[in-house]
Amino acid sequence: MVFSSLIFLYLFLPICMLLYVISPSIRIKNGVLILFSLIFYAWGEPLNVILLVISALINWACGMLIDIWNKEGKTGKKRFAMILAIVVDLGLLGLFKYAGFLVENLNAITGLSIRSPGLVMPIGISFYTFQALTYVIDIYRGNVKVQRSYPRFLLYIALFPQLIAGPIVRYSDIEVQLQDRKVTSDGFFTGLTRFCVGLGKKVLIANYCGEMTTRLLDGKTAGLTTVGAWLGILLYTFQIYFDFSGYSDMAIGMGRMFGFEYLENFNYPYMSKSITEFWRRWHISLSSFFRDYVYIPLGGNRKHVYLNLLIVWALTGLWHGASWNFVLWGLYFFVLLCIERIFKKALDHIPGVIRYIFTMILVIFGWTLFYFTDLHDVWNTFAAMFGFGAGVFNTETKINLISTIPLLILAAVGSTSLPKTIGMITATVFAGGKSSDGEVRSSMFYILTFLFDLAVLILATVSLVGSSYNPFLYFRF
Amino acid sequence: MKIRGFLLGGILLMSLLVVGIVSLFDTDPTVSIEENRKLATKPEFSFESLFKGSYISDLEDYYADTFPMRDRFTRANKQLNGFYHYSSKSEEGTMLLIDASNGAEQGGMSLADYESARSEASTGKDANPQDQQNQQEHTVQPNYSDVTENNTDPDTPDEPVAEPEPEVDVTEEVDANAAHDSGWVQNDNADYQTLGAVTIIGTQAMEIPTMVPDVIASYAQVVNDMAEKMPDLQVYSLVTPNAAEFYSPLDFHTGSHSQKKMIDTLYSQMSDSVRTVDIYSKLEARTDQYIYFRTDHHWTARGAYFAYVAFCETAGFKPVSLEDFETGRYDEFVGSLYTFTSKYPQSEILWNNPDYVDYYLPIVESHAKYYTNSSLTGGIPIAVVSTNISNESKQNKYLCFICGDTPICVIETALEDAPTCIVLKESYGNAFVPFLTSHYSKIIVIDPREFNHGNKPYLDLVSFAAEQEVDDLLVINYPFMINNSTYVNYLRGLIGW
Repeated sequence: MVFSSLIFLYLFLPICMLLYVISPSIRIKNGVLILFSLIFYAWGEPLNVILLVISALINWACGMLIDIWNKEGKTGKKRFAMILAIVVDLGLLGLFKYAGFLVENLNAITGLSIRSPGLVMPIGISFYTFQALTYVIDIYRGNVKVQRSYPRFLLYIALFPQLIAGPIVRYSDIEVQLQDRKVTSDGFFTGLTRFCVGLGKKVLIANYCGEMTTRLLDGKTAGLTTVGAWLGILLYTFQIYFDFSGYSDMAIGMGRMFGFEYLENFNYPYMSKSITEFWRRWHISLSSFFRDYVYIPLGGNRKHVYLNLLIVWALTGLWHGASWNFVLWGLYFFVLLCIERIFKKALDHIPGVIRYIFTMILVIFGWTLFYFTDLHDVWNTFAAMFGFGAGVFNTETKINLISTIPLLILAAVGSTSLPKTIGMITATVFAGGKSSDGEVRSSMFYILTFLFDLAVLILATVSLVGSSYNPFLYFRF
Repeated sequence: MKIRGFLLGGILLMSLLVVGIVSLFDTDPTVSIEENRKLATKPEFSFESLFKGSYISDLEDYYADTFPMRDRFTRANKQLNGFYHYSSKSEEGTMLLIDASNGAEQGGMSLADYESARSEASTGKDANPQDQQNQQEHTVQPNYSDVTENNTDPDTPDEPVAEPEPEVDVTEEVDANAAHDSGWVQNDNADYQTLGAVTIIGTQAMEIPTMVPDVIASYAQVVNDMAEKMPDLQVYSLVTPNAAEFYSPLDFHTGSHSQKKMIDTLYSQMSDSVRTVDIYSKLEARTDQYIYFRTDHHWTARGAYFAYVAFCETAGFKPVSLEDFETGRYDEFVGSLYTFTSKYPQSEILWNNPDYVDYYLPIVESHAKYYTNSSLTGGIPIAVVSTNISNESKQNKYLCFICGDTPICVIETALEDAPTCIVLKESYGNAFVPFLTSHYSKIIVIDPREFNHGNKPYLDLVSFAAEQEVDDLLVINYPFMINNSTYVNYLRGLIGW
């Protein structure tokens, strides 16, 4: 199931919330969440839910073993249990996500014709596998305590807000909240508002950017004009940000409504002045995972730093998908980050505006690599962007450009911190400091926020119902 | 005021829940006149469909299609689309470009289909949803009685639009086929590849085809094979450009969108035994006349007339002069391209600037019947040109020509000694066929989309043509069809691989 669907908004979420609220104890509340999380997952993946449950079971068991052998002082066995969990996790990920890719390349190199296993990747496996890894590794390192209850561990792995599209929540971040958490009135309302913000980002911006991107870039890159290519990739740049960060917003918001505090996953990445900064602001839970669980164990900044960076970025690329363009995309950022590292001093002297523009252009080039799994299309698009495509401008480009101007403005403004600043100012104005009528003015802010949420929900519904409007030229009853 | 967050948040969530509960128990509409389609029905549960994933996706489609106040939401969405698909609202400034992966010719529609859908939409609302669903699946049938009721116009021509057919077995036969048809559009959509776009520029809407050389080559091959397999017949290939070729901005009818290039490429691959008809230059010379609709993807009867003149020149007939026909007019007509773009506010300009439909009545006395399969039994009488389509709606007036698309329609004329022909066509052919009544004793019109795939009846064109002792075979299509592999496969299916 996805958050941005009518069934989720009008049935799943409110029913889940109602049952959650009326549940008398934390055990029952957790039970409700587990049940709904499994339904949520099974909705689109009725068989893969078994894999999810088993994967969680293995990781939970390995955690128990690590704990037992740790207490008995058996370092070797303890290490074995951790490695076993890592092998199982990466093995499942490899089997479902990368086996086809591997076989394909092996066949291409050796000329063999091994049959691809043809497995369909279970949705969210990249996210929940990494979550499980943070638990097993942290318990080995002694950073977290063992989780003795399997249901609670399953809740951590399968909790539906973050299950299929992140953020990658570390066990250490919600260890306590799994057994003891409190929903405050403010937390509930800000969580709901955060959910609405995310919903709006996804349904009212990302979806429309995506529709236009598809029209501009799919299947006909050889006929792209210069303006058309830039417009297409720019819209994709917005689509991927609003889609992904919108999902994170919804996850964080719903988490708060249930009393979980997740860390931020995006921090205005399109306002970065360097690629290094961009990666500190983009998909934070993934880059910090690679930092803490791969880069630093490899030696970090202390030894063979460029090799470490190369490994991390090749893996980051590969994590995004089993295709060479993603590896290239990762390596592209490896090269850029190395350059920034080497020329750091010189780059710091360049005015901020120029650094900002350059960073954005480099990010946009990156998304070109990311978008097309076929490298011919990448090549065609780059050619068109630099004027070697099918001309600079044509009628089709003109109509597409004019029709998307309002959307481009909305997306551009929306990817800066301006909306947040406006929200903060409104809050300050209506919070009213310490004046005697502070309570009333503060309520005013609540009511404004309520109206904002309501407006987003209505507009999103209009858009979601509207997308089922599908006129046919001819009846066939 | 500690609880205001819970209070306001609770109100929002509970409102969602109330709508959710209403959505489960309200009565679901089954058709949407505005969208010209049947709405999704509740999928039947099976473990197989659940594990394949189709059950859930069907359920979600059904939920969205039957959401409470869906009409109101879709109308609001039209306004919202004005933001996401912006263009100036002035008549000159109106612009829209959308994908038309389905092409306009999705499957064809007959007047009877249309009338039955309308009556279903207006009467079916109060029925129990389960009953309605059954009704749709098992008893959808052209509602002839409706058409006949409308048939009170004093100027009823020689041919009544449709006589109620009393024989029971006939109705059953129609039933069975109509039931088969239910799945047709959906199956079809998956097959059609991206072929082009629909655009509105000012008050003119157009379909822009894109050339697919491989498909054009296979279309030529099928027609060549028809000529080879039926050596006793004279085969004619008639390919007509559409409005975009003459009225769109330069980019939309040059390069891979050049229809002239498509037609020339096709004709150059035809064997000597196929006679190609140059409709293009006849229309190109008359672009100052009303030869294409602005709100519909078809040509007008006047456009079709010039194609008829071109055909007569190739075939050696003497064309009837346009002035010699008795004519009539439907005043307000808003066609398929309005429907197709009705999700966007730009379509309003089409609604507010409707077309009109002129028709030319056959000069020779002609009688037509349509059949659901090639056995040619249980025919249902229709008008060659219908003069009494209800003016209640602005839409679907193009159905006046041979009552729209039917599987097989046979026209018999008073010219008993004249030759006979088969016409293979999609709906572009509908406006063209009535002109042939001045030259043939019998015209058998076949829609290739209605045979030899899925649950459609079987037709072997070669033996059928031999049985019927046909002299000529006309294959008439517009550019979207010669670039459409699915359509070419349907043509191929008529003669076998």
